Amino acid sequence: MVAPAVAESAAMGSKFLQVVGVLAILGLVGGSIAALGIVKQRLHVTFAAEDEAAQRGPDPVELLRADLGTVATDVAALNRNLESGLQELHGALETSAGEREQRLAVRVAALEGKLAALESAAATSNAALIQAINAQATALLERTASDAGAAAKPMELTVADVAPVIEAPPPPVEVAPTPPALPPAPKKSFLSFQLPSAAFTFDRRQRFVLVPSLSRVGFDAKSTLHDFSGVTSKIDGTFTVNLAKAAEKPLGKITVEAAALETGLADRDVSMRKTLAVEQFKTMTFEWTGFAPSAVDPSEMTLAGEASGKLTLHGVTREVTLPVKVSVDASKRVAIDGELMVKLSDYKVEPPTQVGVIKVDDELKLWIALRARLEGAALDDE
Amino acid sequence: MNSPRALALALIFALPACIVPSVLDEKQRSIEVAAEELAWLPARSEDLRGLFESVSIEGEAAAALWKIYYHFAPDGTFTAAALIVGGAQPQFQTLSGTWNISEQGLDLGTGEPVRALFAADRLRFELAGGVAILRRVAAH
Repeated sequence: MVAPAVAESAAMGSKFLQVVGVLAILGLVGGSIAALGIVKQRLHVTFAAEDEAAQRGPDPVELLRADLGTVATDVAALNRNLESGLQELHGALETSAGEREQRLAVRVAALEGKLAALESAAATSNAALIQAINAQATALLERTASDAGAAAKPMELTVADVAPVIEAPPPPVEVAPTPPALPPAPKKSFLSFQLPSAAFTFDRRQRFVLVPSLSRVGFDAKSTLHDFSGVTSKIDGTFTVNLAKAAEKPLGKITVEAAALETGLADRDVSMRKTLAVEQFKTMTFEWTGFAPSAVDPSEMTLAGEASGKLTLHGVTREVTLPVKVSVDASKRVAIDGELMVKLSDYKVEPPTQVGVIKVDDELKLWIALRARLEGAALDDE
Repeated sequence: MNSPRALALALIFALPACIVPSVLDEKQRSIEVAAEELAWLPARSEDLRGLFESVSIEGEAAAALWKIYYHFAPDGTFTAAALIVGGAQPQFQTLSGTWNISEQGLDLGTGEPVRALFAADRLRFELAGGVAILRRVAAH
């Protein structure tokens, strides 16, 4: 009885579904027709609008939109670039900071090393100082004890007694202000002229120049007729010496004009110049190269000794030693006086004769009476 | 005996005794400039006018002063030059300023009068550093 009921209801359901299916198909067809009509109507309207727009030109609103879109795109790109740049900058800053940190660390390490070395040196110095103080204290106490007859324990200092220089510097003390640098030695004034503070110094290597108007060089000769002198002031020369230490590299040269020698008799002068061949050997020179002092008195500014050098007469040069006395006069001029015996034959000079009877001795006395004044401090190469 | 020959021999042997030796005395070898004996009087204003050059400088200043010149003008101004030695090279130094002479001496603008004496166109300055004697070489 149940089975026929189930079959009946199933048949009814099948029919119902068939009806629903037909209705659905009909609905779809009707909807499609309606949609087609609507779309057709809209397409017509749209084509008309586009033609008008084409006739009116570009729509400013659309252009604005397009521009806004472009701007928005650019801004977006800019944002991306900015973000990328910021990221790169951040990275670079981090790298630089890292390098700086590394360098600072290296410097700090180096400073720490130096500090350690200084501490070590200070400790060593302190220890040495303490040791020295202890030694002196011990010696002092021993001496005191021996004097007093009683023993005493020497005071002992340890490194701990002395604050390390680095770790515990002494409290700051008030330092007296540094005195201003001393002004340069004031120059002397004479009639408003500013003079060097020490122009003439006996104990100083200085350069001197001869004063011809106050100087003379000559000779004293003996002959069978009578004795005579030849003299001239035609002298030139300079010398460099420390008068207090004249043995230390004296240097100088004196030049005498041979034709300027005068004996007081014109005929004799002619004969003398002929004998000395002054046309050929125009000068006589003395090159000063050494000095052997026998007496030096800096307080009186005098000295004596033997000046050695090369004497050139008549074109012949020989080593000679000239005893001299040196002094300084009131005008601060150096006076040099000396004499020397020479043989004319040593210089290939034939002693002049007259009629075979009047004959000049082969040996004569050369003398100098020179005055020189300070020219300046010795140069480096003098 | 041949008289001319005897006369000649006599002359030869007698002549040395007649000719005075001309050997220069050792003390006269050096050339000394004798100080002039002048009657120095305090210089007056009119004594200073003109150009003066040094003829003698003595004392400490002499070591450094080779030569000095002063020109004193009537309007009370002066100009001067000196050759200074003692340094690496000699150098000229020049001065100019005003001068005034009074009982205290010659004031060259320093406020420290210098003792100034005058005699026969010679001007003598006396200072602690030395003595300088100048002679007048031009009156204007």
